[in-house]
Amino acid sequence: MLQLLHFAVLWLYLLLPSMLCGNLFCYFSHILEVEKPYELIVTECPPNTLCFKADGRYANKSSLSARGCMAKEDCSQVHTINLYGIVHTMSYGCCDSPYCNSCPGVTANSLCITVTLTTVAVMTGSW
Amino acid sequence: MSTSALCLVCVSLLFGTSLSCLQCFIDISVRNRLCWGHVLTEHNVRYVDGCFKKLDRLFDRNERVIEAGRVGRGYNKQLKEIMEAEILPMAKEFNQKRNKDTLYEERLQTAADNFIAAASKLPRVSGCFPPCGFQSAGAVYNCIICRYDSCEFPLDCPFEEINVTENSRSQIWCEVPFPLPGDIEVIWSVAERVKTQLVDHFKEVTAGVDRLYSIPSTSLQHQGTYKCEIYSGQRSIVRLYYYLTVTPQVVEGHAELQDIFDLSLLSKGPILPEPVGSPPSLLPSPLLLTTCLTSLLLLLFLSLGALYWLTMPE
Repeated sequence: MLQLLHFAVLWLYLLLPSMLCGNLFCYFSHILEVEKPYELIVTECPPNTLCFKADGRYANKSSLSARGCMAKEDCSQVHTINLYGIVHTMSYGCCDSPYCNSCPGVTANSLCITVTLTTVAVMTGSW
Repeated sequence: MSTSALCLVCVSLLFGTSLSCLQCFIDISVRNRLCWGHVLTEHNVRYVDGCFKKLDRLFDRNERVIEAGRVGRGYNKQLKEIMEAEILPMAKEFNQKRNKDTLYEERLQTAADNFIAAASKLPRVSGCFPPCGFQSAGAVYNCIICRYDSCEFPLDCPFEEINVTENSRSQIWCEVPFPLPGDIEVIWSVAERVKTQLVDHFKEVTAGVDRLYSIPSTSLQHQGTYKCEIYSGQRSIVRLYYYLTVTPQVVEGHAELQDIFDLSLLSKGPILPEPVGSPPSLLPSPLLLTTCLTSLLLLLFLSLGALYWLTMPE
């Protein structure tokens, strides 16, 4: 019976992320100056893309921010962007769990882990 | 494979983002409402990013939209009204409703075309007139930076040379090749005897609306740089510099005197040079006067003789 439980946990652990993150939900906000108020709206990423949070820098200061979905291979790139005639340097941080791009630096797929652990705890408890 | 290619295109579009007429006039909250229900048909996902990429392609990086937005000063309000008339109803209609990307494409393309057609009819300006002056009427709206472009000319104009003879009248016109606003103030300043554009050399002489600076009788002391600075609403818009060269009259008097000597004096004696600065003689030589008078008297007598003969009775 214990083996069956282990199998179930393993199965849940493997399957849940794909159930939750098949179509990855991320926050979206268009490129905007950091001092301006932004509104986060939810976007659903196409397959093979991750959530990102972009950080634009100008004169050694954080100047722009943006959120959304992007292809995994583009996450590491750095490029410049011209906004109102000012050239900002953009860099990206990607994460692969739902809504993981709400705050800067959040990269762990915490929701998936939390959901999995909760499920396991509930199942163990009811057993 | 096709998905990753699509994403790559999408991301590359995101990287090329710049501002345009849409971003200048439509608030981000409206754009969020407009894009809320954008569904990527291929994967059936509500992909908001994709809608913003469409806006970027159809408006922000569309040269025709940017070109249509190049309106004359004061017409950016109408530009905003045209854009709002296209986008606001659509944002209201699409908010919190899922719609296919194909519908978005169609509707946004129509909106962009309508904007181009309407904005192109707004007045343009003839452009900028080099080489100097802040030409506000020459500026056009720039949808990339969301403000009016400047003609980017310096305020200082190059020197203009004016030559006058001593004791004659000088007139300096402060003329610019571009239209001036209605509320101008013209300040004339002089830097005596020097050719300069340095501010501290100038002394203000007149201020008002008169664009003509006149010197009734120019003297040698009047030589120097004349600056006409035009202000509009306390702001300097152009500075013109005229360098006035005064030719002394004595030099011209000498040349005339020499001609008279050569033509009429013809004296055998040595001609002594005139002392510099002596007034030029306006009377011809006594010899010439005697000859003329004798000839006139002779002519008079001959005429009288002829008259007497003709009228004498038989």
